[in-house]
Amino acid sequence: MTLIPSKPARPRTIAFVPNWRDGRDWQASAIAVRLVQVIAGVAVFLLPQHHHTICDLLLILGLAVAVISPARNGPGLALIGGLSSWVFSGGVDHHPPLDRVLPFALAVFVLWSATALAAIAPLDCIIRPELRRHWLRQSGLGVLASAVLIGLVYAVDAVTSGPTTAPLQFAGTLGVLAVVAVGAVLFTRMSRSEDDS
Amino acid sequence: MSRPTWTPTPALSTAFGAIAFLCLLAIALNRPDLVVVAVPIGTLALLALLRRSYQLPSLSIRPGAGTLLEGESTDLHWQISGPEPIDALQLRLRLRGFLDQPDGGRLVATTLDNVKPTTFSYRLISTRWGRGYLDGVVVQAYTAMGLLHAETILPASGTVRVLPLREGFTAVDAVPIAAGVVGLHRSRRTGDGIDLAGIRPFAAGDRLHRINWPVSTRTGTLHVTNTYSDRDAEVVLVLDTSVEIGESNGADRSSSSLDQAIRAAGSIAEHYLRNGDRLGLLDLSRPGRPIRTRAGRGQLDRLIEILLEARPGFAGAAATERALSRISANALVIVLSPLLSEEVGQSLAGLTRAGRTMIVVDTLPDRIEVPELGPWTQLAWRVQMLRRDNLAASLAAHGVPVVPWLGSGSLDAVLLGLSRMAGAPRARR
Repeated sequence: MTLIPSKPARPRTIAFVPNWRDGRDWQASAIAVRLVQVIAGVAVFLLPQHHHTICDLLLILGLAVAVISPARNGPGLALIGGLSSWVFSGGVDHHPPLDRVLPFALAVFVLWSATALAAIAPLDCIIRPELRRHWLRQSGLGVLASAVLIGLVYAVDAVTSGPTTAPLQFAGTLGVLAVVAVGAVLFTRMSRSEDDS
Repeated sequence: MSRPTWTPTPALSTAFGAIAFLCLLAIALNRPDLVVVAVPIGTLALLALLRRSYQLPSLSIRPGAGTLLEGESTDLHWQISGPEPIDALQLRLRLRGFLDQPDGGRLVATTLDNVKPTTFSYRLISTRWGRGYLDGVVVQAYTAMGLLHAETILPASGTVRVLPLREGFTAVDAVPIAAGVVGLHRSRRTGDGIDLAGIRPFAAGDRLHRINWPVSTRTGTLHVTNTYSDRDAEVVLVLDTSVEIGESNGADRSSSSLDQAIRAAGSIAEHYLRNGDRLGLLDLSRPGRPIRTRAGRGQLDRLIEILLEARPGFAGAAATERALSRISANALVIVLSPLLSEEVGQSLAGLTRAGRTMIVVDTLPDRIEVPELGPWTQLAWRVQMLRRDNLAASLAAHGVPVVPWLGSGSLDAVLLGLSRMAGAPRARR
């Protein structure tokens, strides 16, 4: 009695596959944030009237780090490069026109804000629509508040456009002191709340 | 709610550095435009720091279904709530086991409003049979528009059972050894049942309801309807998990030999248990813990649970032989094996010599993906296949039928042959 179909019924296909795994999936929303960084970085690069090689290199290097690894100190390098270009292109007592200053200030702000968001969302991270809306809303509020302050700065500058720069120096010193004081207060509050916990 | 340690991010140092740098230069160089450049960053940073939050949110994740079939998907629901708004939350879900999120969702950035909880869901798919675990969520919280950062792991656990994809398996009614008192298999003996065996004259002891009145009227003498009795069978599935070959990539993609064995075991178990037979399981990686033969739906659930735990492993030839020798002599033994272990082959040959009725189901898949680990991989594989052919031939020489797993009807020819052999007269030594 034969009842043993002991050979495999069909020939087997053997596929030898390379021993590596797929890369991570990049998300469109995270790429879009990097695009905003690049566009803002290009604007920061192009808006100063004169360019300095070291400043430009710093900006390009910092921008590359900010885009690839935003949680590191790339944004600092990019801002230092861009701001140095702006400072050195004018020199002392330079008063660039408002239609150049405002776009440059906006580009610097967008670069800083987009890099802060990019640090939160790696390339394979989905940025939910509610976070995008929240970020845009908060940044917009910051820009609106800034517009009021900028108006004040130019008003002070217009009022005091005489032989002396004392009012501007006074306002600048006050600004530095305010920044340091608020920073100190906030850090004190932060450490106190940690002690409470 | 926990109070975490908030640390400054590079964005904070960049903001304060830029503001200080620009304000000082504005004073030194008499450049009001530098203050203008610093104002947006400074304003947003200060406003954000004044509105910063101190506490972390609480989080819950819940799969839409606790049990899935291979390749099936459900939604994984997230809910985040807390007493304070959080500007940004980066959530990294830790998944373990055979679950995946094909549309993303393992890494999500969102925000938390203090008015209502943030809810969203992403698709969760089962990649292969087994269990999948949700092992918590790594939360990176950012407050003050990303200027301060805290990290924690929030517990969010859950388990998803992924059942093997069972084909609609059927086999012929014939089993070599029918036993017991109930079941759906036709016995060779006559008795209470449904299948007609014939009509014979009434004899003392026959039940009255068996009298066939039309025939009795026509012939003038009492006749009774004779039927075959229905019996159940005892089936033991032996799972050879000593070797796993092939890439296990889920239901629609390439399968490993263990995948094939588990799916075949599930299909065969479901078929026999639905027919009222008694079925047991012996996993050769755990020979000391056999599942005793029982009937019923509960036994199917129990077997599926055990199958989900199956992992490649071999407890040794002695333990395997000991476990195989404990199988009942009347049981039909169905071995699911890729025929790649000689120790298992020898143990099975020994079981056949002891008079057990056995079928080996070849579970090596038709298409096998083998990682190419070096120039000798292909040659090594060819040698392995030759050894496998030898093992199949030696089992055949011992009278063990080896059939490839082809789903429904795979075992029909062999079961009919074994039934005929069991019915044939045999000499006892």
